[in-house]
Amino acid sequence: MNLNILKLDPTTKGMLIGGLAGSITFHAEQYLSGTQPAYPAELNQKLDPHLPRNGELVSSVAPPVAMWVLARKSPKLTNIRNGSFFYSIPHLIQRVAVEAAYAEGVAARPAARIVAPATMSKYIPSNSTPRVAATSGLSKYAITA
Amino acid sequence: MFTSPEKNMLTGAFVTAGVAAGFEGYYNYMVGKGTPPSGFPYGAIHDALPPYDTIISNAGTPLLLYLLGKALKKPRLAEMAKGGAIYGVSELLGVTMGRVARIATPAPTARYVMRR
Repeated sequence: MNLNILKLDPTTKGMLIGGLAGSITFHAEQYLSGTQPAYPAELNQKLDPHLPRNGELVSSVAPPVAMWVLARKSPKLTNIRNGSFFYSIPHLIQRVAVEAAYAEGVAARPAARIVAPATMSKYIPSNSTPRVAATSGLSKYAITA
Repeated sequence: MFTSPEKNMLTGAFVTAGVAAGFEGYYNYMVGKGTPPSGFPYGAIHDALPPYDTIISNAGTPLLLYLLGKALKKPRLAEMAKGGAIYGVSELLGVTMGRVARIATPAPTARYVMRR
């Protein structure tokens, strides 16, 4: 196997391009989700706590599906399609595993450490047990974007 | 849909993703539990570069498969290394680009509004 990226055979180059296309699509979606206030709320939601966000699901599935459709019309794109599969499908399964681990971690969190939102205040650290009685209603201060 | 070498490459990509899922899954489990792990391998040399665990899983796993394939003279392992490398290189470049873009983007300023 040749590890020199400049001397890769055309098949491997095509696969690498497909993998990069999948990776760039996924990480561009993550960047937009984290920085753009106008990003669609539907894509930031989750179907289930054990699944990634809808946007992550779409950005993981879209490149291989698009390449698969294009490769049926143009066989030259077969290597790019394969590369897209090699990145996107294992990565999607990895993301599901990671989100499931997070959801299980939240479920395993000791109940005493969870502070109800009504008692949260900017003056009380969120990881400490409140020493004052919970007050009803909203906090005096609210953060807006 | 895939030929035999391509199936080996897909297996290699899954192995690499599995190692990455192990590192990230443990980290996210502990974050969910409220006690995020700190220190190696969850730190990074620089904010713009991927964390150590991402580098270890995405670069180390294909390299290990490649060396095993060479040592045991098994071309199947070398094909798996190729698939793992395609996955790992794509992921490392994607993570780096994402982190650089986040550093370059100014954080939105929060405004405090007093309510009566």
